[in-house]
Amino acid sequence: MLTEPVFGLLRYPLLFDPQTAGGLLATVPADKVADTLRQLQQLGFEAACVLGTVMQVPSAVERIKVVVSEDASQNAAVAVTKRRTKGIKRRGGVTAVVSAFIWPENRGLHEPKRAGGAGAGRQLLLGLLLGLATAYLWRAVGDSFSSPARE
Amino acid sequence: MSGDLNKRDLLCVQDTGAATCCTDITGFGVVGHLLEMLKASDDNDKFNKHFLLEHRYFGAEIDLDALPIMDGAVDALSQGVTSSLQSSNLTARRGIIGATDDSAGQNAIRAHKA
Repeated sequence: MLTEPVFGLLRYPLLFDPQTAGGLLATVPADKVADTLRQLQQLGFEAACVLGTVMQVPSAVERIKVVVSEDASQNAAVAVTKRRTKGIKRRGGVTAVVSAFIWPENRGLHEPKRAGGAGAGRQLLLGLLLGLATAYLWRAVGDSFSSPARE
Repeated sequence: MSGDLNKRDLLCVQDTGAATCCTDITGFGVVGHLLEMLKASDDNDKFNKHFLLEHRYFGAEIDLDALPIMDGAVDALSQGVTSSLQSSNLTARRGIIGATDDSAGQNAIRAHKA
């Protein structure tokens, strides 16, 4: 039995569809959504879009509401498709870990913010390892979108 | 290629300083990964727990119309073709408000097949 009309839509099961080369899913403060989208699209991520909004909920179990609406949301989760990278899910630690990917090539572009101290060396090592793994995966599955036989 | 990769990380995490958390959508699908991010954002402060203060849980509203869909994906679904991981990923529907039925999602596929 369907409890909500939205569950009868053919697009609904796609929310559970596994991806081998999915896009990034990020949360962005409401006041930065427009800028972020514009910059992503300028960089060629044309499918970058606002997927929904984040809010406080009363339950630890049922957290996600699926709606069908043309309304653009304010607080946004930004989904990027057709390009792949490795994002690291860390509350409060995203900057430190993900920025490690770009140190070797882009150090001059943007000086990464990172805390000094004993943890910095470990973060660099972890970052380099993750970077190598990402580069390997990128090459392994980078062309999978052009191959309809693969997911 | 890795230039793009770096640019995106740079943009996403540093350049605008905009992203407050970030992950890549892979095997668990949009809902599975979003749930993990939301759970990680909960305020499970020990002080709050100890003094029985209110916990803060985070949720999200997803706009199905906004979901980027690759060409052919809906066609495949309408013929009943899903990934082998689809059924196990459907356990994440516990995190969706109102989607308690076991066949949620599968009904849509069957209805379109028929």
